[in-house]
Amino acid sequence: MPAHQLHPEKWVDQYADYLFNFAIARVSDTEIAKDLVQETFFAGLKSANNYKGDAAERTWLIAILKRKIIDHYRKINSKKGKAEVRINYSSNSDVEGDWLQEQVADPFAKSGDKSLENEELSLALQECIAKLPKKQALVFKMKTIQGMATEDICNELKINPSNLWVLVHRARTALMTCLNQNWF
Amino acid sequence: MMISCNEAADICTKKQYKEASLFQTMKLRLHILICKSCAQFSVKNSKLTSLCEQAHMKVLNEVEKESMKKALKEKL
Repeated sequence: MPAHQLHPEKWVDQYADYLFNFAIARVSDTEIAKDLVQETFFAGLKSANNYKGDAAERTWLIAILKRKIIDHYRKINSKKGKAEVRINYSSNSDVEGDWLQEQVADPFAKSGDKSLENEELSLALQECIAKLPKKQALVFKMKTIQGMATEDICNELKINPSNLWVLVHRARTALMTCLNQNWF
Repeated sequence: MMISCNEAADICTKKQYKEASLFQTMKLRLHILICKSCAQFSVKNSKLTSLCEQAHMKVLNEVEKESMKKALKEKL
């Protein structure tokens, strides 16, 4: 019996947000990212027979998603005019002072590093959230990520505020422990 | 004015979402002065809040997830 098995009926709950964040970091468009996640699930279902069980389910899905992202870029590139080849220092060459000097990367800008770190952080958080009990995860996401008002969440889930705070509190405590080794 | 650690933790979590009243915040401050473990917890809790902000996380909402599930089920 293989070490891992696929449970497609649980994919959306367990991995959708994780894959979604992974995709957003690479295509920076929520709609496209959503479609890519959906396509990944379909492709996973289609090739479920090829799954050998060596890798964890999520790793396997991420591998598929990566292919989908590459395909996405191939597609949009092939749509662009192929005949026109322009080589410029910069894409907005009308701007005055079209000099290499001005195109040099700012040595003090750490935005690349930062965004990479933020992506790692986001995935780490997502991973920890996925480990929470379902209700805690749901309430935490609504409150923290979607920024919903306490009252709205209570109405939607039919719980009372003190109940909500207990759930949020437990979720936060669990997340602190989960993130502890790397991020605190 | 004196509150238990449980109450302090509750206020601390509410404070992360700016939903603690001024009076509650004062009670929490006072408690933190005398309780080391709650002080530690409070620092960690704030850190978690800033990490969450920093991560710019996005989630799919329930409607989107439901439609995904449905689409997946049809192919199953």
